[in-house]
Amino acid sequence: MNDIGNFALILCFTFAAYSVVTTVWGARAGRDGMVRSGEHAALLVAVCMTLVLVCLDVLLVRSDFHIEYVSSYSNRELPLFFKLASLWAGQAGSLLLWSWLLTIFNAIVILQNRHRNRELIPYVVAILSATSLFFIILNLFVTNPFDELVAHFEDGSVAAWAPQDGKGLNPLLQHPAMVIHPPILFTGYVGFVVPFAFAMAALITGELGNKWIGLTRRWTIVPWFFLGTGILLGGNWAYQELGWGGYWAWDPVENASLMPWLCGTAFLHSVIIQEKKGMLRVWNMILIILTFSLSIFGTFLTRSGVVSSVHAFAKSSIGGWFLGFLTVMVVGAVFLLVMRLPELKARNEMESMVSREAGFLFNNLLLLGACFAVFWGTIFPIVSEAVQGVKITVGAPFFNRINIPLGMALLLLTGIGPVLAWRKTSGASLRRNFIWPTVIGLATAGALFATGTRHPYAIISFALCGFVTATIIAEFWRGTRARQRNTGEILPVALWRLILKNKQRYGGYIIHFGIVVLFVGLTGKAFTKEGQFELGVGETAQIGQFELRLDKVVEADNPNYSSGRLLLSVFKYGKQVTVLAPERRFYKTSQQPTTEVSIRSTITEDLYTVFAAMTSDGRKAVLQVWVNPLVNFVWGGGFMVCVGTIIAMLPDRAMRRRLERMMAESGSSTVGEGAGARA
Amino acid sequence: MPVRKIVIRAVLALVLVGLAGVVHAASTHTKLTDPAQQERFHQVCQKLVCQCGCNLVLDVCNHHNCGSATPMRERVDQEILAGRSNGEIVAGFVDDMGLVVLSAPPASGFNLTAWVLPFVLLLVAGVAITLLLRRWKSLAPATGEGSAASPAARGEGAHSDQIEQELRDL
Repeated sequence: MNDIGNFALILCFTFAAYSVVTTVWGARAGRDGMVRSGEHAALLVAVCMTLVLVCLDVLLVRSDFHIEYVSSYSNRELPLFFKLASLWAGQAGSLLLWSWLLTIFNAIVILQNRHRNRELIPYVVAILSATSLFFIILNLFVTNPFDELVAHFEDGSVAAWAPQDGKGLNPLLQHPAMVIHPPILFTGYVGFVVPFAFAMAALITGELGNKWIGLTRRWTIVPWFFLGTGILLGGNWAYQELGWGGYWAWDPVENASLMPWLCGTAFLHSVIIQEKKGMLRVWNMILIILTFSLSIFGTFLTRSGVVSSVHAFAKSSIGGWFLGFLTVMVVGAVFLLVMRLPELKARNEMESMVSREAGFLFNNLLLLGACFAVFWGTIFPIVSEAVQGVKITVGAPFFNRINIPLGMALLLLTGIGPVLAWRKTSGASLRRNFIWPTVIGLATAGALFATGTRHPYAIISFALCGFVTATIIAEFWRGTRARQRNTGEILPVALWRLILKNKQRYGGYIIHFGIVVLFVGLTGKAFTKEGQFELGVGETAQIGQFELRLDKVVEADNPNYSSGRLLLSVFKYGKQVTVLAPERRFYKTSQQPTTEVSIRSTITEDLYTVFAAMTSDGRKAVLQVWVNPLVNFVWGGGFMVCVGTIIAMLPDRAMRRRLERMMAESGSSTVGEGAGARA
Repeated sequence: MPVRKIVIRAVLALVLVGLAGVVHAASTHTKLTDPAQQERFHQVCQKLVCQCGCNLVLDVCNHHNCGSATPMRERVDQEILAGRSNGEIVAGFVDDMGLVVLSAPPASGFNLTAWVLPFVLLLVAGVAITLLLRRWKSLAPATGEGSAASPAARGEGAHSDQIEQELRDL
């Protein structure tokens, strides 16, 4: 099976290289047959890469331990679900997943554009295939998942060797969220390569109008959605699996995923100005180059181990390859951009500083400011060591202090921006739109202060959440009322149809509301209470309004791990509300202990318990407890962002008309009905 | 659960959070019993990073009997009891372990750039955007509020335009 996998990988290499050469050559020579041949080769890469993936999964399921990768990340007793997922537990496998996703995206782009956008597609395919080729080279020559284990004998001879059992999957990764988190996150990272490829194709061909923006709108929202969902799932995994009571630690690898998301968010907002006003054409090129670069930089950080991270399972010396690839791509992209700069210059006009255009620009400023703050904090240990020769730590307190004010400012703009009119907003309009939201924001702050809250950031954050919520509700209310007046529909119908008639706009508002809910949850972290207790059976501990009584310690054993579980009766105001069962496991193959937290989760707060250990005399259990207010708002906010994104991505007639007009303005004659919306 | 009940509980949550009025409950990683000392323990621990490789601040590392966090916390306890100030305690750790023990770079020397650079760039970019907007403003012919500039801007469809018009007329 590994021979088949290796052979398929060699075919991938050959076809991908062929695809790069023939698409570019064909496009330069004006030979459509050659371009088609290159596209077919790219489709074959997707097929072969799928075969490679299947081969590795078969080896994992069969526990074929003579393959080094299988013996390193799997073992006989590992449940089938996790055996399949251990494909992306290690470096070679996760790079394989990256390549596979990219080849599938490449195939979708080719199939979508068989009869349209033919001037751009050869270069799009070439760039996507070149990126695939880079990952295939890594898998083939640097970190091959099909490498066999060999035994070296004293006489110098070498022979194939297989251990009795594998080392097993890192116990921390044996969690449902961790099974789906990497593919979702990778879909986000990889997806940003597509709009980048379209942008570069636009620069190469000189098709510099709004066409590439229209064609890649959905190709930008999809990776943005997946990256955001992946980040949230990662946070949920950390919360449920790592047992330190939090969901975000500003770990470099977490930061690596946040940076392209922030930059992608700036791009998503910025393209609206280009769509509407034809402005910021250079800026949008820069943003997509940055987003792509940060996606690759994120993978570099994850893989290289250049910064200290809890994601130690991903460390390796492969960083140089990524740095080289990143340099080539960025230098190439910047070169193309500089060459086309005169043609990209647009006539930018703005009537007022108080306009939606200005709002978008300041939104971009804050998003990129936050992105830079995260980037700078993440790489500062390396910079410090290079400049001062001193190792330094940049931890959560730094990131919180820098990013909380930026987050607040962004939240404020989330409320202000959408209400501003294009070109110019009058003072009367400002008063009309903002008076009630401002009153609600101030009332929220006053109520919190009056009830004893003294945490300044928490007061500001909740007040801003009140302000933004009021502006969003007002937007829905005005739109619905306007529709009611025009159509005579009843309120719920008018609201429903209002959203359906302009999915992009109202989906965007739902995303904004999700962000508000997320901020409520994040602010709740300021009120966390924690405690550590040593409890014997029958003893109780008090934290906040909760009393916990240890009823029993239950021990269990299965082929994968042995475990100890605490049964804790939880009382609130003297009344029993639940029984929690935090667990401590010891995985036999990896000889690693882990904690399985037990949480009583309500909308108001989470009671989060961790069975840390037994005391040295073995008579008492060491219990760590957190009361985390409003955590479910974090997940709920994330869910609302997902709902809003899905609504914004649904086919939209108004959007399609606008895209078609954009295509027409760009001078394209090959765009069919709804081409842009479907691309 | 009915929507009304969820809303009531959410509002109640916010009120309860307000009533709590405590930013951080004192960590029981300490053996100190005086609430003021416990608060100081928390403040000091927030400035230090556990050296076990978890990359978490001393207050957060949850490895039981952690080879790094446990003795560090004990030292913080002892030094608070010995009457040392927070600054002296942190400085003592830096003397022994180096700057790497701090959870954030000190705001001095080259490390000051870690704190200042993001805001300086933000300020410079903010000024640049403001100047750019002024320049663009000087190029624009004056029109009424919210009027569209390009055919694309008029293209959200009749319904959208109508709503926009309604919104302006409200």
